[in-house]
Amino acid sequence: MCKSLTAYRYLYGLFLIGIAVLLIRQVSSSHWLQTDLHALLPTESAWSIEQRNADQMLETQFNQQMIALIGHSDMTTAFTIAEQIGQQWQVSGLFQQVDYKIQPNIAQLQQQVEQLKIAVLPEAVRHQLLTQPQAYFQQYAKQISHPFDHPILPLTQDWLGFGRFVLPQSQQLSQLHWNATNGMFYVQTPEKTWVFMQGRLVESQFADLQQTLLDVMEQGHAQVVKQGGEWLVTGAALFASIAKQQAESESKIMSLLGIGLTLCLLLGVFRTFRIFWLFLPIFVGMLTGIVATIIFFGQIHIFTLVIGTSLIGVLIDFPLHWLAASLFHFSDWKAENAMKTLRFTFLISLGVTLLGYGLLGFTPLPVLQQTALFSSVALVFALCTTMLYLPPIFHQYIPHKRLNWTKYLSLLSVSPFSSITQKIVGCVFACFVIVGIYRSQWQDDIRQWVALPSAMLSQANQIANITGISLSSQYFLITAENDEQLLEKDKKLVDRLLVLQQQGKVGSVQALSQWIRSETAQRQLLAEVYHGLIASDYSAFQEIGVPIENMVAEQKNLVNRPLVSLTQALDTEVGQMWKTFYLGKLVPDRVASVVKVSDIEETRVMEQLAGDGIYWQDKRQHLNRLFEHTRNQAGYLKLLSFVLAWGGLWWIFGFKQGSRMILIPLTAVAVTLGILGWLNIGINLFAMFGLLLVSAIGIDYVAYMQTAKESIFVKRTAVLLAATTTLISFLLLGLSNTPAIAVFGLTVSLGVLGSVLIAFSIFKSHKLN
Amino acid sequence: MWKWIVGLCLICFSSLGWTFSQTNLVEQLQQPKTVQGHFIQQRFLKALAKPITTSGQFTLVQNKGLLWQMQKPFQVDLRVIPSGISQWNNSHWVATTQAGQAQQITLFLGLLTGDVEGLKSQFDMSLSGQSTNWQLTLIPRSLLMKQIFERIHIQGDKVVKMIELYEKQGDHSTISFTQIQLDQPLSDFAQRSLE
Repeated sequence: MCKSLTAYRYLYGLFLIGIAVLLIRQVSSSHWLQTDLHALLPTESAWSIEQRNADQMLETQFNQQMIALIGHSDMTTAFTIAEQIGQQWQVSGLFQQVDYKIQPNIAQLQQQVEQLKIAVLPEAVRHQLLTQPQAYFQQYAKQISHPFDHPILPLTQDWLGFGRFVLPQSQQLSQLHWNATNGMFYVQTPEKTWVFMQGRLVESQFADLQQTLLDVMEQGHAQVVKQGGEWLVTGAALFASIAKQQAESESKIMSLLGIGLTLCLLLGVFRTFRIFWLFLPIFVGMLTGIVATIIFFGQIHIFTLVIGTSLIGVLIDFPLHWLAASLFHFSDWKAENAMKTLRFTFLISLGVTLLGYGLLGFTPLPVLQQTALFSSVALVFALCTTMLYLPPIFHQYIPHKRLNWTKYLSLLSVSPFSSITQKIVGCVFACFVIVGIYRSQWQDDIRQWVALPSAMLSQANQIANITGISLSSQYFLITAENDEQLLEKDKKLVDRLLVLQQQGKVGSVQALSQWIRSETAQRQLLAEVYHGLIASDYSAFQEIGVPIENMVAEQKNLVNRPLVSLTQALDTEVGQMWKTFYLGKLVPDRVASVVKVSDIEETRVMEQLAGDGIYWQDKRQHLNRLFEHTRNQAGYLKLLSFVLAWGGLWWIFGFKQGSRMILIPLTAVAVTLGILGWLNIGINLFAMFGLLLVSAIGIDYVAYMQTAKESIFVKRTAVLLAATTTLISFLLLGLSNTPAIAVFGLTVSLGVLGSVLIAFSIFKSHKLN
Repeated sequence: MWKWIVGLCLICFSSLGWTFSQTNLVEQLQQPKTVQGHFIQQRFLKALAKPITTSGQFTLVQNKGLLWQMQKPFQVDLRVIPSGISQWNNSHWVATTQAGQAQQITLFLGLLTGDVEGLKSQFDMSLSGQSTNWQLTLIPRSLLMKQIFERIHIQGDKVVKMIELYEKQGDHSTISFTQIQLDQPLSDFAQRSLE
């Protein structure tokens, strides 16, 4: 027996070395760590292929976009700083393109204005032209005759003056102005000049550049502030990088602090440095967990690592259960024997826990699948390590003489209350829990996933306010067979939105049809002008000595004018800004455009506008629904695992014992829910995940209390020690900046406390052994 | 619009930093607090036999801005101040919205206060004549100005008397200033507009 065990140890050791080598190989192939938050999102989707393609296109655009504003009370200084920052961005290697200044080609600009002048003539101008033509031409004549404010097209190229409206009409998307001297874009507010800067991040290898991004932005910030300016920056990549940095530093601090505190506790209790070896199973568990996750998923997500780190407190439970008994049996405690007697306990506990994690793997959420795999593998290998290596290491271990504190612990076995008082307290507590559960709010919000620093969010808002650029993720997706139909649908939707806008139900509306008219509408406008104007409408020009024959000639020539297609218009420099609104062919024979709407009072009203190839795309709401769905699914799976575990325990321990064993974690879960309800903490996916862990930990305590052949006193001490180490790591998680992780930590902490108290109150005397 | 603004900026150069007479010229042009007078503007367009001719009154106030009151052939009142170009509609000022406007005004009004850095980067300048009769020629240097102007001529004595703008596409314009009064009381309207 002993020999075969030794053989196992060597084999297992070789296996572990292999695993370690594998990890080194995995890590050296740079992409082992996943930090993109989107990778956490559910893969299953209720959206149509068009919707998903559109979402992905915009998402990619959005993720690559970085926008900065440099503000200064002195205009010249603002431009000077912007120039410095712009150059830094260009040499940083972060961007495939940096737009902070353009030097236009006037001849080309004039040619494009000429090309677009009918297609993008504003509706209000068209109306004035057709209803009050004389007023229209008088304004034009006045504009021509004074030395300021001259149109981009000379009079001789634009006798009817339509070219004047092309640039303002094309620039309505933002409040940005172009500085012709230095080519930069800016917004003037009463206090400051804000210079605009935009960059498109490189696509590949961006993961390696996240730190560079943060550094470049921080450097920019410092530089602007040093020169007395203000710096605003936003971009999805920046949020992701910050979240990654937070998660990394948090997981580092938490694991160090968790290990440190646990170590102190154990050193204090056992008074031997051998307890360092208790970390061996943890180490092995983590190692194998990471390797297995990378093998199965290709990568491991930073979120999985953070949650995985908290497993330390659970993985150490096995060795603690085992070693705790040594505190009370100084001389007759034998490492090997103690482990042997606990083998059954551990297997029960492991089996039930693995069942829970196994079922969790069926949820469609990658992060839950990863965590389930990570935890299961870590648990199995940590247990194997505990059983194989710890007994020989502690072979020579002679427990120190205990101080009297263990006697105080024995008080734990005595209840301060009489049984009647206990029942009353129990009833009151039950009511408390039931009301709490009733009060609890079940909600999921993607915004809880990452703690975006409020300063960053406010910067994004400020940028949107100053520039008028919409950073909203809510939009309408319009699909049609061709561009003509697309523009018509777009226009109809915009008309309905503008009615809502007048009622104050939506804020800004931005759409392609607000810029350009369809070819049919262009043809109609040309005909209207051709037939609608008469020579006397041009009389104002006679007064400044311009022969009106020129105007008449241009009017008559309109019928020969070529029409401009949407794609032609979008290909011009002038139409650049509008490109983001046109998605082109999302699926064969179907083109799509986007209508952006901000400050929506009721999303329900938006949903009602959808239909007939128009979709209301609200990514956040959509994701939240998916999370809710996943959360419920995880909940049902967990219930199923309870039923299965109950069946198993019933089979092993009989109906009464088995039921009682399953009742403890179940009650702990209920108590946790009740307390969360009273604390007004929403039950989200992560809280649910915490509850799953609570039940695993609960089962472990119960299995130990039920099956270990020790006095109740020893068992309580062991459970208390295990619970304390678990609490250390989960209370630390509860302090996390990330709301999702904090809720997770808090849930598990509450659940562990509940499990311990319930287990203690049920397993009261030796008789139960 | 560019051509005109730049041209008008030159009415009142302040400190162009020429070695000898430039300094004098700058000082000379900086002397008056206000300049008022009559203007005639003629635009010669290639395609037209006759120039487009407009005339009226102007008022320039140091550090405030310019009031341009066209009287013929239409009555149009325009105001150029740091916050923008606007047109009088008989009851209030209406801002004109044209892309790339504000920095041109800044440049223009910057010139009034002696800041010519912006202009120097756009044009090569050469001065000839004496303080009682000088000529200044500006040849575009920046990419943008090269696309708009061939050259700009300015001449004057105590004040700017004439601006000639030759455009790249063959058109040209002249603005001449007559009946000039220095530091005289302003009309109520001018005072209110430029206060």
